[in-house]
Formats: sequence, C-alpha cells, structure tokens
Amino acid sequence: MLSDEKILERLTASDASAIVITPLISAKQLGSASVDLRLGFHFKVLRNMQIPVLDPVDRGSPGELAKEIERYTHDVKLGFCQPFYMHPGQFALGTTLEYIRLPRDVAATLDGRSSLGRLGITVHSTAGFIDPGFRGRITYEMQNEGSSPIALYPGMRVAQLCFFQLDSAAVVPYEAGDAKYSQQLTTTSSRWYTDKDIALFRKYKAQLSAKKIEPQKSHGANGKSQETP
Amino acid sequence: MRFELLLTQNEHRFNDHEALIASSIRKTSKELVGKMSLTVRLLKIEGDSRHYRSILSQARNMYWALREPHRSLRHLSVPNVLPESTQFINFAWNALLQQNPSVNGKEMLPTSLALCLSSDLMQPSAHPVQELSVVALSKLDSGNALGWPLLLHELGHNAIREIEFHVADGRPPEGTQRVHNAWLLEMACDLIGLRMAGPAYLVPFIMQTLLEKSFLGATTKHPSPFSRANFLLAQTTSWGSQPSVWLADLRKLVNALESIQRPIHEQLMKTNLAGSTMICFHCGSHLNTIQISSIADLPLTEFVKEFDKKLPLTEYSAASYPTSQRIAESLGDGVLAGSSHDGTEAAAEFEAFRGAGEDTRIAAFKRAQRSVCDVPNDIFSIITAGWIRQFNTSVKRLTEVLVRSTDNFDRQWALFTARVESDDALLRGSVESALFHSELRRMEATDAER
Repeated sequence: MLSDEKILERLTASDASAIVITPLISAKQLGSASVDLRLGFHFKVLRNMQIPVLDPVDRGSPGELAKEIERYTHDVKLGFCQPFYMHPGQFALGTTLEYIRLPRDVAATLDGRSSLGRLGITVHSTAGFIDPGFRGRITYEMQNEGSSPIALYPGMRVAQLCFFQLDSAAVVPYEAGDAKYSQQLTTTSSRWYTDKDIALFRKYKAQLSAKKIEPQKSHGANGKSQETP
Repeated sequence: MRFELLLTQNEHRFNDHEALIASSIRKTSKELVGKMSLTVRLLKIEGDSRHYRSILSQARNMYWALREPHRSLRHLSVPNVLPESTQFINFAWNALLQQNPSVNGKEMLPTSLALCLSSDLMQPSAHPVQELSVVALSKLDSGNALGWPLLLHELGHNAIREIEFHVADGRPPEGTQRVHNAWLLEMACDLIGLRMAGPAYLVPFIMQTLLEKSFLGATTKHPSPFSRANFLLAQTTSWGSQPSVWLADLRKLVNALESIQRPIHEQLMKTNLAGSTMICFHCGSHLNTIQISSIADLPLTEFVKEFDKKLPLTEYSAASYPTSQRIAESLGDGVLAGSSHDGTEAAAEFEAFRGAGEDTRIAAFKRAQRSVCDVPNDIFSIITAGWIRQFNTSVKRLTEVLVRSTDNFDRQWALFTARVESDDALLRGSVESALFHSELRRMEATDAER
C-alpha cells in the first residue's frame, strides 16, 4: 500500500507514473495512506415499481435493456448545498466529485469513511476495487443501512481511496481491456447485460426455446433428481 | 455534424412528434454529409478558390435545409429546465452583478434565471414566478457547452435594460435615431459577452454569424451580422499574442464571406451604395423605407467609453494561468479539466521536501501537499479550450472521415461522432466541475472572513 509520501510523489509526477485526482480541493483530503474522495452532484435512483424484473437474458437485447433501464432511472442532479436524502433501506448510485486516473502499475480500493459508516451509510456494496489504468469518476453504490434518513450534500468527503503498487505494470490495463466503465464522467448505471457471459446465456436459452431441448437433470444431495434453473 | 450529435444527446427529451422531426433531420443530414464528402474529395484534388467557395456555399445550404426542423425542436417546455446550462447561466449572471455594484436599477433585476419558452420571454409578466427572469434556449443546444457563452448576450439584455447610453456627439439624424439606439443596445450586449468570456464568446458568435443568410442585411432591431462581427473583432486588440493567431483566421473568414456575399446582397437590395443598408419598417399604417449608414458611421469610440463607465467588466486576459491551450491539452489527454494546479511548482515543492532536514521535514511535506491542491479553472477558458479542440482535432478527424473513400463510411462516421460526443461530455463535465469547485471556494472564503 502506498504511504502518504509515495502518494504525493505520484501526484507530483508529470510522466506516465502519475496518479491524477482532480479536483483535489484541500490538503485535508490527503491522509497518511489514503486520499479522501468527495460526493459528486449526480445520482441515479431506479424507479422499480414499473419493472417486474431486471433479467439480462430474458428481457430483450442489450440495447433494449439499456433503454429500459434509462427510462426507469430517475436522474437527480443537485446544485450546490442541495441535499440528497437517503432513507433507510434506500439504494442509489452516486459518483465521486473527483476524476481519477491510475497508472498501469497502481491499483486502488475504495472504502467508506468511518463517520458515515457509523450512521449506516455505505458507499460501495461490493465493487470497491479499482483496476490499474482506470480513468474516470468512480460510481458509488450507496445504501442507507441505518434506521434514520440521512442528508448527504455534494462536496462532502464520503469515501477514501487506498493505493497499491503492483509488482509489475499491468500488461492489459483497464482502458485497454474490455472496459465497460471506461472514461465514465458521471454516475453510470450497471451495464452487466453487456457481459460476454450474459450473451452466451442468452444465445443458449434462445437455442433451448427454438429446439425445445429439455434441461439436463442433475442430482441433488438427497439423491433425488432436480431441474437446473 | 453538430445537429446529428445533439439529436443523439437529447433524444430522451423528445416527444413523439419531435422524434419524427429528429428522424427527418437525420435523413437530410446523412444525404448532405454524403454530398459534402464528395466535395471535400474534389477539393483535395483541385483546391482552388472556386472549390472553397463551392464548399462554403454547400455548407450554408446544408445549414439552411436543417434550420427549419431545428426550429421546430427549439424550446423547452416549462418547467423543464436543464441543470447543466442553468448552472452556467446563473454563474454568469451572478458574476455580472457582482462585478457591477453600481448597475442602475440593480435592485429591480431578478436574482435568478431560468430557461423556458420564447413566448414567456416575450411576456415576462405572464410568468407565474415573479422573481424569475427567463432566457430562451434551444432544446438541442442545452448540452452544447461550446455554444453556452452566446447566452451572455441575452443576459446583457437583462442587465442593461435600465441603462441609457449618453453619446455626446455624432447623434444620428432624427429619422434613424430609434434604429441606432436599438443597434447600440445589441452591440452593448455583444460587448458584455465579449468582455466576460473573451474568445469563448467571440468564436461561437463568428461561427454563427457566418451561417446567417442575411450576413450583410440589417433590421431595425439588429445591425448586420457582418458589422457586429467586425465590431467585436475590433474590440479584441488587448488580448495579447496567444489568441491573435486565430483572431486573424476569424477575420479572414469574415472578410471572405463578405466578399462572396456583397455582390449578391447589392443585387438583392438594388443599391450600389457600399456599406449602406436599406431597411423597411412599418410605422402606423405606413410602410417606411429608410437608408441607414453602416455602423462605422456611429460614434463607436464614445459609445464604448460610455459603456465602460456604466458597466465596467473584468476583461478577458490571455495571460491568466492556466491558459486555454494548457486546458486543451488536458482535454486531449481525456482528463477532466475543471480545476488544475501548477505542476512545476508542485514538483519543486516535493523536491524541497526530499532535501529538507529532520526539523523542517513535516512543514516541507505539508507545503508539498498544499501545492498539489487544485484551483478551479476559469469556465470561459475551459470553453475556449473546447473550441481549440474542436478546430485542431474534430475538424481534422472529420476531414479524414470525409476523404476516406474505401472504408465503410457509416462505421467511420459512427466512430467519429462517438469521439466528438466523448469530447463534448468531457468539456461539459469540466465546466460543471469548475462551477462546483468555485462555489466550494466561495463558501470557504466566506467562512475565513468570519
């Protein structure tokens, strides 16, 4: 993990080894082994009352699914000093205020700040790892797991980023690979339906329906046969 | 190109009727792009002035073919205000008011602005929210940060509607006084845009001016676009060396179009009086025709002096750090350019920390940490940087797509538009980020004062 000195060295570098974090508003954001990140002003909340299910295999092509998600996603763009209220149990996507660019030999992990965690606010549900070569704004997967509604203001410090030096630079950094969230500049909805695996599922399921192939039987722990889902 | 991009960007805002219009625009623009592609290839073979004229003429015809459907998509329905450009407008409006505590009747001016229908703009009193001034904005242009500075002209109308210009000498003859006053008002609003935003106002103004059908024609409300462009170009002498290169290019463009249009215009106006304009207007039930001299006959020097006394504005300065060229480089690297710090200074501070003794080590480290903190960039410099990218990169890429005859044109075109769209998003994000960072700094400064 990079120390404050190593982070500063990367922030002041002017070559390909530089870590870019902009806007870096205050020196208070620089911790002893991390950099605090702020909350951006763009949020996305899914209005799920009109969607029966988000099924990437059964609900049309990736393009249709993308349109459906956009249609039922409520975009919230806040001005300065305008609050975003997180109610208990609510899930929303947010974004960092900062744009981040990592070099090919540095990965990072995102984590919440203790003060908000104690109120029940999490800023990432599961995907806190940032690949080497990533560039863009990081999307927060925010949830209020506490029992009180909490007001969040864009510009607040809500998360921290720790950096890890790889033992060698990545041969295929995030930007060069199959990057779904490359150069994202704002809160970005999930694009899991573009996964190649999902395409494979879709294709196989279509074949099943066309040929009416019986799903294979498998045997459960109790020895009785079960249908695969 | 812009039409097609803007249609894609704003598709989610269209109703069914507008979606049909959008589809018709797409069809027309695709045909026209094909024609342009052919012409550009011809130009590559025989690049003489005749072909350049032909290209210019075709580009203008393309624009005019698309203008009518574009108008049909023009305005937002109330209260469908757009956060992106609304933030920009409010920032500019506050800057204008803050710079001019002595504006006459300032207390009568609205404190906030909104975007809405042009019909509301014509009848502000009919608007349900009293303390709201409205500025009409094209639905298609709402996300086009390159064009936002043109809104400053409309803000100018908000700011100077209570101000009278007193010109000591050279008053126009009685019959044309009313027209000249209207012209001066328009030019004052242009001047506000120019003083506040510098090239970020001048460049889109000239680009739009070049596409005006009545480039040399004036009305009772507006002087000719040619006159307005020349007036603004004449006001840019203090901009230093950096922008002068493309100022010269803009002058050349304006003059080239004037030389093409002058004979047509004179034929249309049935007059051979160089620099003159005939204007017809209704006065009661009579149709009057007056001949108005060009704006060169107006007492412009005094007018500008008077304007500066009434509405002193901080002038655009090319020397401010970081320059638009530097910001354009950041945008070119795909980095958000809303804020920046002096990289050379930061590197020096870090080196100083490395060489510091044990007793000064912590202080030197904190200095180095402060040196990597950003300050918000000037939003108009960011937009100018966007124009630099547009000229240097997008136009080059477009030419490459147009002259490529073998590859699949549709695929190349799709790639090109995706890249321009990505540039647009980066520019818009940079402006938003700079505006937000500025607000945070203002909040911190207020706290420090207390």
